[in-house]
Amino acid sequence: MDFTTFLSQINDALVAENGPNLAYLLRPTSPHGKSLVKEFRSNATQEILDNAYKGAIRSPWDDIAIKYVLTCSCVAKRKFQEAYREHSALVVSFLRFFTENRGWTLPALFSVLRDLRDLAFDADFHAKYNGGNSECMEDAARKIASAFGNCITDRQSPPEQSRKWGVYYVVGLVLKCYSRLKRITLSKNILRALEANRDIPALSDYPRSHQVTFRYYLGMIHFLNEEHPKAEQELTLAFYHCHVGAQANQERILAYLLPLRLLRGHLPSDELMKRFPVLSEMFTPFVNAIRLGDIAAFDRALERWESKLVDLNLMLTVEKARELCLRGLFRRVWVASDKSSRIPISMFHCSLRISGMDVDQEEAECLVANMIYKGFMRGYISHEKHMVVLAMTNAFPRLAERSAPFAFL
Amino acid sequence: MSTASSSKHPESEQKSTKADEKKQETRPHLGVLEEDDEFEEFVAADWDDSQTDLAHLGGVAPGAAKSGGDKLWEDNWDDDDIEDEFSMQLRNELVKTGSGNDAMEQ
Repeated sequence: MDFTTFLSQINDALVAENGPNLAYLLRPTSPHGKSLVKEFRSNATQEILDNAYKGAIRSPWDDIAIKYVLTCSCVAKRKFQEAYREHSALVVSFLRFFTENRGWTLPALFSVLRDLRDLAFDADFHAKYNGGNSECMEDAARKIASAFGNCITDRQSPPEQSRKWGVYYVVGLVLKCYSRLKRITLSKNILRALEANRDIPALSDYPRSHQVTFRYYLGMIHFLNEEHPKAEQELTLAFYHCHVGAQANQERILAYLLPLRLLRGHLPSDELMKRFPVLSEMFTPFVNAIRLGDIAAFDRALERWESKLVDLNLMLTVEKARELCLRGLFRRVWVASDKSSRIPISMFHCSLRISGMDVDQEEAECLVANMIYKGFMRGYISHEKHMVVLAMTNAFPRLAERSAPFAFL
Repeated sequence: MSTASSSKHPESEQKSTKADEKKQETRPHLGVLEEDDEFEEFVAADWDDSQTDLAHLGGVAPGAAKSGGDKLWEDNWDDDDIEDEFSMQLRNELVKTGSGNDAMEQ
């Protein structure tokens, strides 16, 4: 495809209001990108192209087409930061057009923003690799956030043709940028803006890919803020609405959902673990330890997986599941005592000792008191008689029955 | 990298650099759980229930467990009949401590 044909195809897509075609034409990875680079070779400069083609097609599409050639040319030369700059200029021009048009343009918007983020990723990656500094991802986040504004403020298009249908996809991309920068806290502003604009369609009316990506990041943010119930809710919806063929994404969601479910006493079934061997390898030792009340095994697993759990921000949450393991241990004392309602504290102390926990009797008593306080056991301690008096019924409520599973953790 | 593949940018580039990162990992089989891995673009924009884990739920709300009709999670797993070495040890010790305690109380 030569440049003249490229221009006329852009024009055709505009006339036909064909968003997917427009997206294809603007993608640096499309085959015509390569032929355009060949056509211009060293002539691919702003000046030469401006002189030859400025005004060849209605504004701002002349600029956009020229920037496209320049982007492809930089990519071919592996000049990543320049490629980012050229493409980001293309995005700025595109947004001028976008704000004056309806939702048919969204496929093209998504595509150019996705490429913006990808090019920022490469620019920063290669700069860092070569010991340099590059802040393209920050810049991309800002530009994508401004596109969010251009979507949400559409007050003219009829509902089914609204740019508002782009809101969640674009927010998902912004959150992806922040997550890459490890500055997910920056997402507060955009989430607040989203909440302030309630005249957008319900999230469940958006395409599933938008819903799942948005809920994954929202769930992550809640997770990192230790807002467990909200995190669980978003991640659950993300998981169950995710395409089952998107294994890596489901795995990613489940990595954060699973520890939250554990705290609630919901253990992953064998069937679930078989589907996700990578997660099974890491979590099964913990799950088994909880089932058996095996504190020593739990601590071994913590030690074995510590650095990975820390890297993934999972350490704090998984550590909290140790309480469930302790509950399991004390329950075994109760079962071994034939479910007696009166069990000497020394027996609990002893169970801790066999588990390899070197604590004195006072500390053992304190651990039992904590279990009772947190609702893992029902009963009271008779301190004078060194005796734990357990409820006649339901002394160890099922973990899944606890009314506020995330409280006290 | 060849000219042909670099013009296929950016996806191909991104993948190759990530693959390089993964090669250096000591636990390559955990590839997908790398801290730096990202939530991926979906191939399709939309799909229906039959292609999700909602399909096996038969209408119950996601987030339940086996007792609520969701076979992916177990909520009723307390086991009174665990017979392992730990069990034996626990019972033996408890008999000892238990009798010791009774003696003390008498």
